[in-house]
Amino acid sequence: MKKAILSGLALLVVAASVSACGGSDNKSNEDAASSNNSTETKTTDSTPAKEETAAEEVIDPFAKFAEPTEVSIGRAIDPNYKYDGTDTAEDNVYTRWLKDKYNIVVKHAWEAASGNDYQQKVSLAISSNDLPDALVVNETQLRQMVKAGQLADLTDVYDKYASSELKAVYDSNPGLLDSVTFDGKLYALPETTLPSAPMTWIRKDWLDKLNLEAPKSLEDLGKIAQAFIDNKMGGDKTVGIVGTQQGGSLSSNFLASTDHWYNFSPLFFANDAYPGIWVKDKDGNAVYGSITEETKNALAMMKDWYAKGILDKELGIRKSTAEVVASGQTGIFFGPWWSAYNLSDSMKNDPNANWRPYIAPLDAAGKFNSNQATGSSYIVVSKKAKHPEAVIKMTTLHKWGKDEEYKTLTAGKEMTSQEVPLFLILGAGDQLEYAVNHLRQYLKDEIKLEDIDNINYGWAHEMATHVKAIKKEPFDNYDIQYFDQQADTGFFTHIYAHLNGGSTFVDADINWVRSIATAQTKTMESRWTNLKKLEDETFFKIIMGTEDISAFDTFVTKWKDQGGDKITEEVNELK
Amino acid sequence: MIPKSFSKHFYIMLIPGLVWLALFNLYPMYGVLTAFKEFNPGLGIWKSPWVGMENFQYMFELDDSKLVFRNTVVIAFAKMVGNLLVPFVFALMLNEVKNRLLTRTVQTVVYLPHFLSWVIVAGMMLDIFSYSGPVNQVLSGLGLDPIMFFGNAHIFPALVVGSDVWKEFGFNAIIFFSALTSINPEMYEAAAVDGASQWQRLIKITIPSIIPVAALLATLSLGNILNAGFDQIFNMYNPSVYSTGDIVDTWVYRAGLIDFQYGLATAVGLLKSVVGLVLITISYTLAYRFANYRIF
Amino acid sequence: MVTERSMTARLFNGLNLLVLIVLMLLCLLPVWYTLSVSLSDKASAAAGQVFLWPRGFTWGSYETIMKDDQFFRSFWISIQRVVCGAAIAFFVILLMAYPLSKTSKDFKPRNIIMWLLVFAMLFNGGLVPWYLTMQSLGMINNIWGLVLGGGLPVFNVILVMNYLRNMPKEMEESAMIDGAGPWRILFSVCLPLSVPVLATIMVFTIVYHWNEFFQALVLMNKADHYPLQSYIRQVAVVIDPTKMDEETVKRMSELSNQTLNAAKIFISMLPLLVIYPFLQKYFVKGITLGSVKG
Repeated sequence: MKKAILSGLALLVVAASVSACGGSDNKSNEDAASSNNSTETKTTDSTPAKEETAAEEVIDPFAKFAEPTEVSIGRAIDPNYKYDGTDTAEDNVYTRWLKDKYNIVVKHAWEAASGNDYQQKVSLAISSNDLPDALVVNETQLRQMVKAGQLADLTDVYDKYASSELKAVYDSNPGLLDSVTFDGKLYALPETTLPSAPMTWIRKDWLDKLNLEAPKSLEDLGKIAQAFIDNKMGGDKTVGIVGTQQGGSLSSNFLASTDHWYNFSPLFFANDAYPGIWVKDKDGNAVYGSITEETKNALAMMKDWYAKGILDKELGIRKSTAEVVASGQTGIFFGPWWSAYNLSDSMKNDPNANWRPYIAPLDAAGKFNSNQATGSSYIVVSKKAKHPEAVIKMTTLHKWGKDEEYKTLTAGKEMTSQEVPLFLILGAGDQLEYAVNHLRQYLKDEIKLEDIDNINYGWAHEMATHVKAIKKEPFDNYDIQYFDQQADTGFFTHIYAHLNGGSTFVDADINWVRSIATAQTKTMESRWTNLKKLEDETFFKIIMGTEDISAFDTFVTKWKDQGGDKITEEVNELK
Repeated sequence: MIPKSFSKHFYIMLIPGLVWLALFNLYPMYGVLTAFKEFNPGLGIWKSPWVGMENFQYMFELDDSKLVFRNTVVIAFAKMVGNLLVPFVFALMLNEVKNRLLTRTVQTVVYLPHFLSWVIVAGMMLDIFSYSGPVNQVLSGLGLDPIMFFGNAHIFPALVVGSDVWKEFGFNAIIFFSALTSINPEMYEAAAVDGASQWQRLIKITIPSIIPVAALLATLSLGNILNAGFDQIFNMYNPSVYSTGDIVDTWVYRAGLIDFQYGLATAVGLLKSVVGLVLITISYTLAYRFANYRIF
Repeated sequence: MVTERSMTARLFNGLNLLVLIVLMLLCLLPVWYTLSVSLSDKASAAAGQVFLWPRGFTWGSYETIMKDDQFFRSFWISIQRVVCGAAIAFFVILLMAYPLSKTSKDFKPRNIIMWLLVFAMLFNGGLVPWYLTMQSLGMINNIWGLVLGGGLPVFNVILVMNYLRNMPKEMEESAMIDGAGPWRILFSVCLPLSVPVLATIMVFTIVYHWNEFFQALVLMNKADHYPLQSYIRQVAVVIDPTKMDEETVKRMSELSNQTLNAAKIFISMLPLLVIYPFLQKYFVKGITLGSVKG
């Protein structure tokens, strides 16, 4: 269990610890700018308590507040997380550092378990207009708060207090701040995207045992799954391909575009179908992916696979897909590169479990398709908050305020969302690529440790110091037997996930399809829930055989009538 | 005859209860105004703009709202029938057992599920009826194809009703047990003298004596026809069974708190309450007319 | 002839008994199943191999719970909630049911108040106004919110009221002739006679307060203040993967911790399962007399 926590944390670390700046090659100007800033940062930090008022014109984002400044927040916590000693989510190494060094005092208005409980508490806070100073919210909640006029306009404070590093991150993600700007006012700090495309993860040891080739087409994949079942690779109850569990969706959609783990997105993508997002039809008009002919074909195929027993009979009903993967009952699932972080249970049950990701299935034209992910977490500040600038500062400090003192305090331990209040993923998109490529080069001694940028890509540097103990030769083969799982247990999962999952993803040639709409339009606010319900219900029923494929056409007609056409018009205006 | 002077003491006795009622039940009821407004949390309920019957119009336009009301009635009605019939038969069966110790033991044990929460019971149901769960193992042992119980919209209501009956039949049988014990033993003795068999005694004496109780209970449960059991269904359902399993309460929860469609959610909830009030009035009247019994 | 009849009778009785015993075992199933899972090792439970007997027997889950401070804190909160909730409900309901058990001739506003109660039982303003009310009454983050927040238990009032209404009038009348006032009649005549129905509503109240988990999630600002069921639910929670983020991924990987959850659930069921058989004779009588004339 501890392992599971660690691996989960690792994921956060990956996303968060890598410093940001523009792309590594083509934005060298920004690179230079931000390393300048970093040096500035260092100097500022060593001269604390600089009076804020002293710099009317140029405000130093790293200055200490003159007075203790309180920020109240609602906080998602993990009830199973173990803190050091008597630390808590509200009082830990990180919050004490914020307080002592910057005079920012974080108070918890409330705490709730992350996931549903937190979402429910946020929704309740919004509905009852009883908001703490700052919160991390999702897209629907953000829009509701904007509509209700509950949020502080951050335009000015962002301009004044955001550090140049923070601004560089948002500048390198074009359109991101626009998506949270309503009527010219900036209402939130959005997270940047965690790169994600669903790959096919297969037990390579099973492939080898049955002398099967890695899959390319959908047909290959179907055959492999069938072979796994026929040969009882996972025992009598072998499940072909697992995916969606209870409460889950079949594929990612425009409101949860990073949702690629344990569902069936690739089966749609390989049919050139993009359910749940807004794509362009052949005339260039916006069309909802779920009502296209391609989606119908994909569903027909999935229906067939389900009937044959290739797809998990319990899809959509299963309590935990993770358990099936862990217990070794299945040899195939879909998931993004970081799925490797969650394979430790499977490897514990069977040390030979050699999970490898494949850029498959490809579509008829031989392309690997994926929808493009957009972020879905936002830091928002209440209109009633006295110190919105403190929130901006906290966001900056979380990533760029880590001086020597901080490192001594934390003793090198990476602070996670459980210690860091208002945790937000910020990065420039190339963090994974940089880490993977430099790890590979470093393994082959093509570069030296010093060549890895410790300032902007600290995490890549950190991993490089561990990689040689873990990865065995041949360095370009990422099968499990070429890793030493015991040598450095603290870093094994990181290295394994980056090299096994990350490298395949980084090297892949992916045809990205971006949704035209990434937020709800006006009509969606009232109609979307019901349309989505209609869609989910129809799709599940078709696949599971309780409805004929002709139900799809009925669904399309109904969908259009019940507001779909109007919404499509609105999305067309967004183009 | 109660003296007039008692009245003022009666008022005093009512105070604690009425205060509790006023503060925690009645006061929050101003929330029903949301059904006639476009609720904006920033403005609060009082200041949000009125929209008249717009939310209700939208509700009647939606296919979903008809569906959830239909599902609710179907499930609740089936539960009502099951929760009368099964305890009735069970009580009759247990009545035939003459061993006191055994009767007591069975009674005690069947009350048990009543004391468990739905979170726990629903979780168990999902396990037992899963694709590779024990029920399907038995089915495949009999040479039958395994069934996706919780993925099938035709089967789902049966599971909901079945598990509810399972959970409550023992507890619901309590009334029948006592109705049975109140049957005059002389009637049985007379029947035995006439040479009536066990079966005849059951048909001629036992069942007719407890039918009135059953009828009364049926009338009383009428008021629950729109309560299909939120806790239970919330913990059991999934999108593939929405068509038969989504009920008013689950729908209101999703629409209101997750999707911020407050007005609509409140309107649906309000309609449910009004129908509930009408039904209770009917059952009150029926029970009074035909059984000369006042429910309250 | 006679033997044939006794043969069918015996066959019938045997079958009857068999069905009853199967029903009985069916009712024991959840407790047994939970216990089996809680005593199994994690891998077997995750693989779904456990059903009627523990696999890879271990006390590990229970040892873990013994070290969990929050579990005991929440257990204690649940006890407090049940005790306070039951005590308050007892007096308020008794006081309220007595006047309402009189006819409208003897106590005029009786019918109006009854309908008001029924109205309150059916209608509610929704979660948000309720939360705001609780907040303005200072019911956030303290045990009273849990004790009182559910509102007046109208159903229980009706139950006791019906029971009192069906009591023989003679005792009350003779007490009156002795010069007893309403308070003395209530406490020295009605109270002793209504022990069964009061025990019944106590059982209902205890079950309600013990199993209720939702209110605390809304009213409490910290898990430290959660009662047991809310605490158990948040660690055994089912996650909505449509809102998948890294946090959820991490939590999902912990979901295979079935055995520990089963142990927590088992311990949480235990108190009720231990006490109800002892209250049985009361609630059986109370339910009967409270709802339907015997």
